[in-house]
Amino acid sequence: MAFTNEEITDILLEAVGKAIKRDPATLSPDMRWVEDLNFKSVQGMKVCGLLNYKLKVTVPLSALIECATLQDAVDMLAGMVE
Amino acid sequence: MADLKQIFVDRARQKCPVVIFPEAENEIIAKAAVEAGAQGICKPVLVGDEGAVKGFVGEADVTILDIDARPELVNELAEEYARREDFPVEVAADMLSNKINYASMYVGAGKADAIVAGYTCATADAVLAAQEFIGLDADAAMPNAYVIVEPDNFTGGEDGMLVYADPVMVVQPSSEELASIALNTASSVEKLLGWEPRVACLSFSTKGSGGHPDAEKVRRAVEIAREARPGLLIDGELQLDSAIIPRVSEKKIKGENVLKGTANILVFPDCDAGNITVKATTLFANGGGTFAIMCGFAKPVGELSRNSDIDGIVFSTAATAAQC
Repeated sequence: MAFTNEEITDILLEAVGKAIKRDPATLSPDMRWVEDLNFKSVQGMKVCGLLNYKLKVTVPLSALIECATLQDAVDMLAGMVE
Repeated sequence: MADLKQIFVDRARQKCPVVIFPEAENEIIAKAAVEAGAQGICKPVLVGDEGAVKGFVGEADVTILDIDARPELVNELAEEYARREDFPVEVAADMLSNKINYASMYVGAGKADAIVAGYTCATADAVLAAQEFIGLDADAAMPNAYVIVEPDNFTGGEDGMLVYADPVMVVQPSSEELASIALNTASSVEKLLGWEPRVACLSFSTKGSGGHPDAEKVRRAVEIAREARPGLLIDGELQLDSAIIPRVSEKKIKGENVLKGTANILVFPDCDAGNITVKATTLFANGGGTFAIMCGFAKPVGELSRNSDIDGIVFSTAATAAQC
């Protein structure tokens, strides 16, 4: 199944919002995982769970948290679902 | 040497808790779990393909959970996780189809008292699953690990034994994280070994002798730990000799001296110092320290070395069960 970058962005923001218990509407792609979101690796399990289920790919947590910003993660995911 | 295995086995047998083994499709794990059950250390629950596990353990008296063949087992826990976390149940079921995740949630849901894992999966995966599905102890900021050592020719500490924290998990702890390491370790050691914790937070400096931000980081950790648990015997920053040798402590520390050189738990300022000291103790002082105990989780989590044999896994299971 193909996804547009917009759809991937929406799915990622929803997943991150679920994981850090924050309204996805307050998140934006330019946000940085650590500096802006105080994201912890343990929270990544929920994000990966949601991404794996919705995008039908296996997203390694290590690859996700190596991305500096949410947009970097969207770009990585776009490459995976092509 | 103290017979730690016997100490752990005796404590475990008092409760004989339910312990889940998510890697029971491995023959060594399956047989070790059965052996732990036979010794009265725990009531084992084995996760894996029923045919494969029975091939390893025969008709042994164990519970086998074949979650691939029985999706209702996963769905039951998925519904509980989804409720707890306000999470889509179908995504939860997908996550819990992973055996490490499932077993962690089995503990998190109160169906087992502890988990033993890390033989075939990466330790990091077991730790993440435990954090997510079991959760942390109420006072813990994060999990950590410690080792028990018994150096040759050392008679201090607790009958010649010392606990070192954290030589493997938290690489560059902040003051807050150091405080959490001290508190987690003290609580776990009380349960596992029955010691009254006497915690020294170590540094290159004793009580301000070295005016450096690294020493200040340790001093601040002691303040945080004391605020969180006022009755805990904890001091720092201290050099190693001030922490464990009474005459040095008396000589170097002017004013308040909480431990008087009798520390039995040493909290290292970072993982470098802790890990190097464990290796040095093992190599130069025949001091043991070859297995790590994890703490800070809401329920005990036992970590296995990939080169453990059945006896080693039974030992780790006893150490885990003894904390229940």
